[in-house]
Amino acid sequence: MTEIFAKTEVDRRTLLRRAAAVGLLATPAVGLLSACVGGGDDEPTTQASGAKSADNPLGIDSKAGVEIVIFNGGLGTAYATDVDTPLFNKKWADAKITFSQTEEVSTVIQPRINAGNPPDMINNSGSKLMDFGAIVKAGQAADLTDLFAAPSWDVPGKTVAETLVPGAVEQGTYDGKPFAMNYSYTVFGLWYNAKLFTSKGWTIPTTWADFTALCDKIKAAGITPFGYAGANASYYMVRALLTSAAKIGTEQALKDIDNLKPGAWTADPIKQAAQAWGEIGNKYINKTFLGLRHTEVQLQQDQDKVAFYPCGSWLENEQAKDTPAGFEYAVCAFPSVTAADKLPATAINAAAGEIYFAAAKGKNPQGGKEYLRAMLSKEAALGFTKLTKSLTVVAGASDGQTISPGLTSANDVLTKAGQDVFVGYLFDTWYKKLDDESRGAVNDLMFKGGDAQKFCDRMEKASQAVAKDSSITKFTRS
Amino acid sequence: MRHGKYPFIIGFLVVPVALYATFVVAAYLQTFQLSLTSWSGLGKIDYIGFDNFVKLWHDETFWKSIKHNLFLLILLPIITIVIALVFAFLLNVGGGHRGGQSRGVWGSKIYRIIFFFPQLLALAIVAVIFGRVFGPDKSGMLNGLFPASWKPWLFLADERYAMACILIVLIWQAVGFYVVLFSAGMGSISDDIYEAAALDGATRVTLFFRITVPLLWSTIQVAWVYLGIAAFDAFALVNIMSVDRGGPNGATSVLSLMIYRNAFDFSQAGYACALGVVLFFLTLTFAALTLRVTRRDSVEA
Amino acid sequence: MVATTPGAPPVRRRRAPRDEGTVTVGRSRTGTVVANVIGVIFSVLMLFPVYWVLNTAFKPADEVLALTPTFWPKHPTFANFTSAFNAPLFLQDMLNGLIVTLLAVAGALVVGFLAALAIARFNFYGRKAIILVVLGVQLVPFLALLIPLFLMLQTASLTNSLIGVSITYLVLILPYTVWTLRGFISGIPRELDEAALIDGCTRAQVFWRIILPLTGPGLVATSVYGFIQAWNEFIIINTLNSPAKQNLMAWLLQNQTTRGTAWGPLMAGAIITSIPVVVFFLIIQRNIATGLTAGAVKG
Repeated sequence: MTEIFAKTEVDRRTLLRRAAAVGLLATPAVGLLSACVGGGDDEPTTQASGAKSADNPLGIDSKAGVEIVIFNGGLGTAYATDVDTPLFNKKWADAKITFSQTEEVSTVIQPRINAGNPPDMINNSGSKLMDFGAIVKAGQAADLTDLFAAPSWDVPGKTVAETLVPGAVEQGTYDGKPFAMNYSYTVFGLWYNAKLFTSKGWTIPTTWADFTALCDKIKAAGITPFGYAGANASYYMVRALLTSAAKIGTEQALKDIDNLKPGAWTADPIKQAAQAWGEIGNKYINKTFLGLRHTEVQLQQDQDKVAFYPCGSWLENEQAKDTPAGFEYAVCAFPSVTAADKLPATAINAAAGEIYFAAAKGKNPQGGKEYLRAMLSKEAALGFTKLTKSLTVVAGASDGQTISPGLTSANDVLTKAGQDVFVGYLFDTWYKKLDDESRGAVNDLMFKGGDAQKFCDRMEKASQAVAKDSSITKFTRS
Repeated sequence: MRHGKYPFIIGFLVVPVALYATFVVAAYLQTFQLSLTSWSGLGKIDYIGFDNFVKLWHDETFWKSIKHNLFLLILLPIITIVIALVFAFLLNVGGGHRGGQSRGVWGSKIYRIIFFFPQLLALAIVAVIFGRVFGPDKSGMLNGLFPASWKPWLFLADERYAMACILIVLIWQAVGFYVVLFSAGMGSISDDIYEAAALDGATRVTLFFRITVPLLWSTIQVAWVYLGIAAFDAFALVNIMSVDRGGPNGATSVLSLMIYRNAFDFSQAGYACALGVVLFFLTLTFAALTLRVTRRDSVEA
Repeated sequence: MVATTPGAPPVRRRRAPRDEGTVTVGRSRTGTVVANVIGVIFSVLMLFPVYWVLNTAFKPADEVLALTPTFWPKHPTFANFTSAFNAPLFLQDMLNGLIVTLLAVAGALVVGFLAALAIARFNFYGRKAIILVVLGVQLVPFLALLIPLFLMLQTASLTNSLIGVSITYLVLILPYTVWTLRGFISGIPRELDEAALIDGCTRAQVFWRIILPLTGPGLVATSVYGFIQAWNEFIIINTLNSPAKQNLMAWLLQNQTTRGTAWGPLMAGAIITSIPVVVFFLIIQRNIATGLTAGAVKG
């Protein structure tokens, strides 16, 4: 069924999880049934191309049309029609862009891929996106190596890859080759109302002692210091806890978890993080939140009944309609748990998401890539951010711009973090059952006594059960 | 009369039989086939014998789900049927008979329509409404009605009560249909019988237990089967209403939800199909048992 | 409300016709009062959520979100309805739902009537097996079939198509249709067929001219039931189709999930969504009872 508040979340993990969720629908392969993603044998009939030159690094046919399909979800499609396409046509006036949008990519695009007639550039996203791993395996996605090596559209002297945030290309890399462009960029942290904090004179904590001291003050002011929605957003809390763990013991702690390493969940960083957060749960959370949904707790935050809420940078845009005038979203990094944390207090968790790819078997794959190159220009990235209130992987594209307070704040946090940005964990998308367990376990930890040992043991047990289950496909990362 | 029978039979049945053969029989065969594989839903299919069934034997969630299905299976039919019977009786016989009309209580037609209303509301809507009814803080309807000094009940977020909340909603939705069903059944009980009983000085309660219930037995039996099936399913409601889809901590997990989640969330289509096979046999066993057990007591049989 | 079912099948078994004459069975004033009090309390319980939907639908946004909800909209508004109607895909999905539902119901009536005829009027090899399968389908939760179903329809290129969903719904409501109509047809005395045959009717004419009209109320009852089932279904259509090819129920669910706190338009959408079913029900609520009992009769 539909994810709870699906379409505005664009972080990688959600995307991957949805990929897993709909993967079944994307590629059936039972005996007599043949409707899987087409094989890699049939060569495309004729593909448009032109001579490569400094002005045309990808060698596109300047007169060949490009067909693009954009997912119509939380980000809308205006960025494509009003920003990217005009930008593309300014350079290639004769290349006609055929635009269409869809709410469910797999149901619309999959048959066309199977029929050997895919659009040239596809935004694979939403609750019914196609399993991208399968697309790559079937040879249906174009290799983007030349795109990333090409000169940037509007940053002189740099290749496309060089204009992106660290890790952006890697996140779209499968078996050593880039096939996907993950365009949007999500920053995770603690969200609060900047106006409320300013008016009360509260300052953002960087150490755990500061954090709890502030929570005491907030509580004294009659406001719930910290909260998250237990009913359907407990994975935000899992992210908070594991982000703290990564700060204590570096991202390695999360990699061990992802790799299902025995003892990963009972390791010190996890335990310390669980202990610290369990304490917050004991003292500062409103117990009724266990039964509330994301939007309901957000409503309370909008009314200044909750101070801190752990979430990703889509939050501001998602709540835009319901945010009252006296409310100004701002984000801060999770405070350091111990003085011995291996990462600084400014370290954050941020990830790229929202896949765009050029179809390998389309009529004009180079045109599709050129469209992607246009999207990766600073100009297009800024336009995207302005329209969607979502950052992009184009580094610094929105620097110095005032688009919305929350976005500015997220950008600041990102700048302050410098190189201390980590991708986080992937186990929740790889092993959905483990993800489920983590939600239950973190709810118990935060709402029912804060027993860190119990949390660690429960997760360790679940993790090892997954490791031993041969029917679950395993992934590893390094 | 025998002449030319088969052209009609074949002509009449070819479409439905073909539909069933494809959509039900073949589909089920495929479920059986896939239950013996470790298929993720993607890529190649490996046959693994009965490993999936061994795995579910050791799966805690599976047993929890079975427990919850049984909980619903026992309570949903009993409570629903009792309430529906009592109301149908009140509506039809409760007010006595006058002027050639089997007169229910005043306004019985209106009641009948009102009771049927929940049946008309889509589950999506029902789930939204009851989400508000069971709201875990003071803004929830029930918590709002409780005395201010009470700590708010968490309802769906409380492992102890979550399943009961689901049960209440299921009953709420089902009851009207069965009131109408039983009313219709009662309407077909001849008034002579009531008259004769009344001459013997029977009270309303006696009428209910000695006449209405026995004569409606076959209808009750059907209701029981239908409600049992609803108890086995319950997927849609649990999926939308429960905390964390089947939570908290699996407190509302039911078999059908497990099937759906394994198939579509966990990429374990083979395992999901194994669960489907279990559900298939459980449902059939239940139906067969119900029909057999209740048939013996039936006055009509 | 009509007291008797128009065109009800002629006398079958000892069913129904209300006896003439005054009967005074188990009648006491206090009893009636108690019964009514219980009835009213129960009605309130049944209706309260429905009332809440109405209440919310007519409230402006700020009243909906107020933490202490009021029992009546202070400033009633139709804004939620307009916003639902103007919401993307609302009308499209409404149309889809109608098409799918009508196709499924019409198909089920035709197929079901013929099947019921065959089962009710003929004795033949495999009759029992067919009855068993028909019943069996009702018993098994459809969810267990969702995976193979999807694969099959995909092979036939019927995913993301209204036809694919219509067929699925047809299969879904067919058992009930066959079963109920079978009850109705069994209720028509065979003597009538035979008399008509003697009068020179062909067998086809008997079915067309005699049995079909007499099954009228049954057809109505089953079509209502089928309509409700198909109109309210959302799991299958949500799994098979994209939003542009879904129905209002799936639309509601998706808007519930994506719009978050926009309860007002959601409830307004819910009301609009429910109207066809409610109207249908009110028109023929008498027949539905008849249909239900016919289906429930053993044999």
